[in-house]
Amino acid sequence: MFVSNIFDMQSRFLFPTYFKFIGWIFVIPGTIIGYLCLYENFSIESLQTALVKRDPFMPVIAGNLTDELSLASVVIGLLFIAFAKLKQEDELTAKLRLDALHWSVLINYILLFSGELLFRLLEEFGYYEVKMSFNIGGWHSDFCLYNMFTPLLIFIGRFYYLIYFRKEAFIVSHIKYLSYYPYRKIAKIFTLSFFALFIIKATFNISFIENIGDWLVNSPLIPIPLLMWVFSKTANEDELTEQYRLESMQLAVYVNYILLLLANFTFYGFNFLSVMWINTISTLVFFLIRFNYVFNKGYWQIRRDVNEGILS
Amino acid sequence: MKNTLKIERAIKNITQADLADLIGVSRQTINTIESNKYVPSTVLALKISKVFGKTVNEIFELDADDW
Repeated sequence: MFVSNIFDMQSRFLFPTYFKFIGWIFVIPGTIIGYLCLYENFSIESLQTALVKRDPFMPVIAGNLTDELSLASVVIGLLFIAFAKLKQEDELTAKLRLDALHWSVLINYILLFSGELLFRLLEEFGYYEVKMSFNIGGWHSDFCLYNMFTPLLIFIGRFYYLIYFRKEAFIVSHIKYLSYYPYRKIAKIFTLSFFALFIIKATFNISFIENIGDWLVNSPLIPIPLLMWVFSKTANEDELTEQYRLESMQLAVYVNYILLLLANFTFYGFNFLSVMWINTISTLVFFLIRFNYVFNKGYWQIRRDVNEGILS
Repeated sequence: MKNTLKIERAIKNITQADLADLIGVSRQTINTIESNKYVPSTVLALKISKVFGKTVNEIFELDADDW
């Protein structure tokens, strides 16, 4: 029989309430050390390692882990602050969490697009050179760096505004999705053909396709169909899909930051920058895979139940 | 959707915080429902009606603009 384990909308995958406090313990020193490390050339002696940083352009650099650790500390702290349970979680706070998650993802992309557009325009007219290596201190790398925190910062700002701005009641806002037709349809076609092209290019190395592929890969417009897919209605948008959206987005943000933290300690320089580019779509890709998986699983379950005569 | 939550609370003489504790939600959630800004789930509506010993229909009512 079709039994859903979801009785009402609820926030899952959250940390215990006291993690909010632990979060601050991570964020404050992390921010201070990170700032000193970036702008004052500060590093902690004991974090000097014999590790060799692998970089295609600069093969051997002695590693100091101060910058990596401070970045990790800020990211982990912000994750704890953002996703620690409230004292009283209920279906409405879950709804507000979803609203804030959507905001953070969407606004982060708007910032990313407008920032990248600005840099490309400046480069086009010869005012600025975007270096393709992770050149610490440049405006562009600073921009990329701050962009790693913006989803969490926007989430925290938006969620706490909805929860705490009015003392007596929550602020309820309704997320506006694009309509199913034509947006979701178009988004699916564009996204899937892009990935098909990408796989063909990676497997067969055909020059014509490769050229189109390169153009697509180097285009900052890739996330647009992905965003359209994420932010458009399913054929029947209801409370159940809302629950799926909440869980999937929450997990997508976690996966995104886990990837980032892993990359932080395993890739350096140029590679780290490319990992950050993968990171710009990983949230959306993971969301879509997870959401469509649970959505379709429910659908096929109902179909099976109908066929077996349990539901009619 | 309209509701008579405020009246029911007055009759039973319990605060928003009391009701919130009884059904395991936050006080602000009760306030937001009372001010007709949030439509509770079926589970929550049933829990609320149980507290007041009434049916859901006696507390919650469809509005003209719900259609």
